[in-house]
Amino acid sequence: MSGHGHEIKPTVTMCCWIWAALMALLVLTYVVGMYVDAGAGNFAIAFAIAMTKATIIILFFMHIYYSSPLVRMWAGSGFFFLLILIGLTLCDVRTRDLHYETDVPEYPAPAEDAPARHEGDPSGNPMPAHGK
Amino acid sequence: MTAHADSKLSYLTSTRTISSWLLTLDHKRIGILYLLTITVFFAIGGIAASMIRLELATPVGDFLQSETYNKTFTLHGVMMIFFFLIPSIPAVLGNFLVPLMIGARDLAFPRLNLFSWYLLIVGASFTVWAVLWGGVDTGWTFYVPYSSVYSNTLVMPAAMGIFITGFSSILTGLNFIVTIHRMRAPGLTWFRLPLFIWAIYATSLLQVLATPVVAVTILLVFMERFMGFAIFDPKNGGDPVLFQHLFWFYSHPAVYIMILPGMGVIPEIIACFSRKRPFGYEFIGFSSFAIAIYGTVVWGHHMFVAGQSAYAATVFSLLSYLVALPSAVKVFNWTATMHKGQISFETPMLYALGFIGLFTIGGLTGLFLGSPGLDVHMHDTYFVVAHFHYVMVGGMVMAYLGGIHFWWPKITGRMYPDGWARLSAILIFVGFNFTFFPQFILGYLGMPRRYHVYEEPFQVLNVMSSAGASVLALGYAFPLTYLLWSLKYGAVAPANPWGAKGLEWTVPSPPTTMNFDTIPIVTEEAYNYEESPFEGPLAPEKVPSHTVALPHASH
Amino acid sequence: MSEHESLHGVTHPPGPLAHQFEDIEQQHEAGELGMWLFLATEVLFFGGLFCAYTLYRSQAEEAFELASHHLNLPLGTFNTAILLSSSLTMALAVNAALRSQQKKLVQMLIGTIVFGTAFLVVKYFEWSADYEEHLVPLMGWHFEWEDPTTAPGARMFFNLYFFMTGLHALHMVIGLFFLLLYTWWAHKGHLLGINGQPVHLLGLYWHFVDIVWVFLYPFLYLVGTRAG
Repeated sequence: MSGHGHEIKPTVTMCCWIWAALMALLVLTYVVGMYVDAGAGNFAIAFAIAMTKATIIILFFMHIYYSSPLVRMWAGSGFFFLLILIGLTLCDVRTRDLHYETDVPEYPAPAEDAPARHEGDPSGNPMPAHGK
Repeated sequence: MTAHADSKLSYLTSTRTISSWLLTLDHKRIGILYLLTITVFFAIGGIAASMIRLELATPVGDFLQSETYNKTFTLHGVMMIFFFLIPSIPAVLGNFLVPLMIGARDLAFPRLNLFSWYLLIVGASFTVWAVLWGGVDTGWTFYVPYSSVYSNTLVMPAAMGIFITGFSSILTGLNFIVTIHRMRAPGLTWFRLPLFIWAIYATSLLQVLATPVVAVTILLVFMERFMGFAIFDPKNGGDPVLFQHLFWFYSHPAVYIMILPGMGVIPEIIACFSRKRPFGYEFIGFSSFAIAIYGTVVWGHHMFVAGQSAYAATVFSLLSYLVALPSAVKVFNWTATMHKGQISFETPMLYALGFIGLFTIGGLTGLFLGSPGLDVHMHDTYFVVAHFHYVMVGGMVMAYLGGIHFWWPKITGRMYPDGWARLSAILIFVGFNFTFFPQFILGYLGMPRRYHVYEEPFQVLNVMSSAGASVLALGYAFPLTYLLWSLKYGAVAPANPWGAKGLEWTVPSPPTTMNFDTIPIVTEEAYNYEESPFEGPLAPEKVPSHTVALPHASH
Repeated sequence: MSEHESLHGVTHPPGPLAHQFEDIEQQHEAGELGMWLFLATEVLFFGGLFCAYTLYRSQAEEAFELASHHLNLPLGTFNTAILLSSSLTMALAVNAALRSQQKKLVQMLIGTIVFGTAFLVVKYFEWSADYEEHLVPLMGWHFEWEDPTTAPGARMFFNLYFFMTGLHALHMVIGLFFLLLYTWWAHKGHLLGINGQPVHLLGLYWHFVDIVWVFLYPFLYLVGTRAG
């Protein structure tokens, strides 16, 4: 435990205040979710409130406010990696409908009298026509 | 733990019952347990590889049926990656050496360490059960929806086995990180640590943070088969590319989990056998972290042709090119270490030199694959197969063998026969190149991977590859034999047979159970070869702990 | 080496200094860092599911909103309040342990167990109600959804809902097991003062499970809005 101080932090009073704050934020989330129509803002508000609650819990109930930089770094590391996972995955998913505005060359269809690809052509389909 | 261990006896012989080994909390014994188990897994994976190469010696499917072939390469991949390579250096050499190198008596959590080994055993049991009862044919990559819906093979037990083994990896990494932060001897600052410790730390970072994602992904596949959670099934709106994102988010860092420990072993060997401090020590150390961090943002380069957007492909490609930089920094620094050094070609040095060359080739071919334009042609061909075997086998396995040979005297108290060892190293190098270099050409010419048949003109190169594989197999059989032989008949090893620097060389070979009589206080810089090239470290001051109020290093 | 490092130490309360550490402070610092590392792995473990959720929601926003409205928001909110209160009792338990207040420690641990169990009971009722309404697309059970265009998205929502809350509930059960064990040890007079660190570590785990729910609640119950 960091510190051999005489008072154990967070104190009982602080814990109760934090609980009260969490309850208040919960009521706020509920009210916004039930009665407020802000379109995309609904998610932003709900997420922001969740982040606030989580931050309060981590800082005080989980003692990060009083911890060493090393512990703080590792406490944040998971979220940092998660950000990378979700961020780059979204980077794929949200851009799937984008099309590049370039000229894509039209490849001509093979001429009707061109020889069919046969076995032994290493640059073609290597799967033989026969075989298991 | 059974009888109180006499502190003067070696860890190998202080207690002799089976239960004292199977219930041990001594990190050194746990390292030996891992060594024995992963050797068995390597043999199983090697047998699968032999079957693959036998089948591919002829263009038609005459040795294995197509379904059996699918199960064989799946077994080979699963065994080699999850059960051999990922544990290898961390679980064997890391477990043995980390406390010795940092001047500690054990890891931070010895019971967790033993538990990690049992997790590996349980996980492997599930997978072996799956193999014996019919096998899995999805490939080690378990792509959906084949693995989650359509495959008729034993995906669930195999997936459960890998899931459990993942936790073995996570807990080992966790143990190392806490140990390195909290248990270094007094005076052992970060920049006096061996580079092996830097590499193990970077590996552990990835093990801890990336493995849980593949764990939950495998759990999703398992649950999709078991309870009908249609997360990935396209019929229900599922996205198979999501699986690939989640899978490769781990599996790309997994390749760095596999290679970083090898990159930690190499500077130890090169510094010792060049009698020089590693050139650019700080750069090598930081590059381990750079590789770990960079390695987490490049996973999409496995998915260029999977259906990911072109925009994301471009981003991933750019980031993938950046990850080559810290690897190059390492290679240049290792080479510069040898420049004007007093080089001797002991067996570990042969493996290290082989590593540098083969890893460089493998790494450079990765750059070809990192370009989406080229990857369209080379994805799922033998070019990819050759690329990753160059880095994994030519790189990592050689680093593993080099490390085993380097620290064998310390671990067992015996010297191996030098002539046979050097011959084996050369045999492995030659066999390896004959096996895998033709595969670059095959891939360039278009031979696809994971097929048990191929076009006639590919046969010459395939036969060369299979012939090389037999030489390689022989090369692996030799160390197994003479290392076992040395346990009984090898010369007794002194504490420091190589004249190497590092705290592990200050204790007897093999070490006592408690590692150090008294915790050393480190005053010397790392790799102090300039002052005394052929002797061990300056005797660290031995001050009995508890009587001096020196703070232990606690960051 | 004392017998505390043996495997039998699992069933005995944590005692004095383990053999690999130099002093008790080093042992405590190691334990704290170890627990935070474990929690970092749990962030990524649940995080994979949040990633799947994010991807699917971005592809089926409307279906997710409709499906979310089938969840019982008042009950879910009440459950969240229960869980946040269990975090309070847990924090007070840690406080009591470090101040060697045995009676208060036992009381607060029991309080946490009560709240945690209540949470799981409410979840059982919620899941049963979903089963009655044919909203559980598992085990081949019939999934009933009125609108065929949003059916795949709704199905996906409920898949994720049951997997994520199920995994969360599993973590709570594990936490409750340890809470019971620690209540027993505390009753016996252990886990006080300098030996109170395990309570702190369990508290870290419990608060983490609470935080997962703090995010699950808006993601699952508050998609879009129920106004209008």
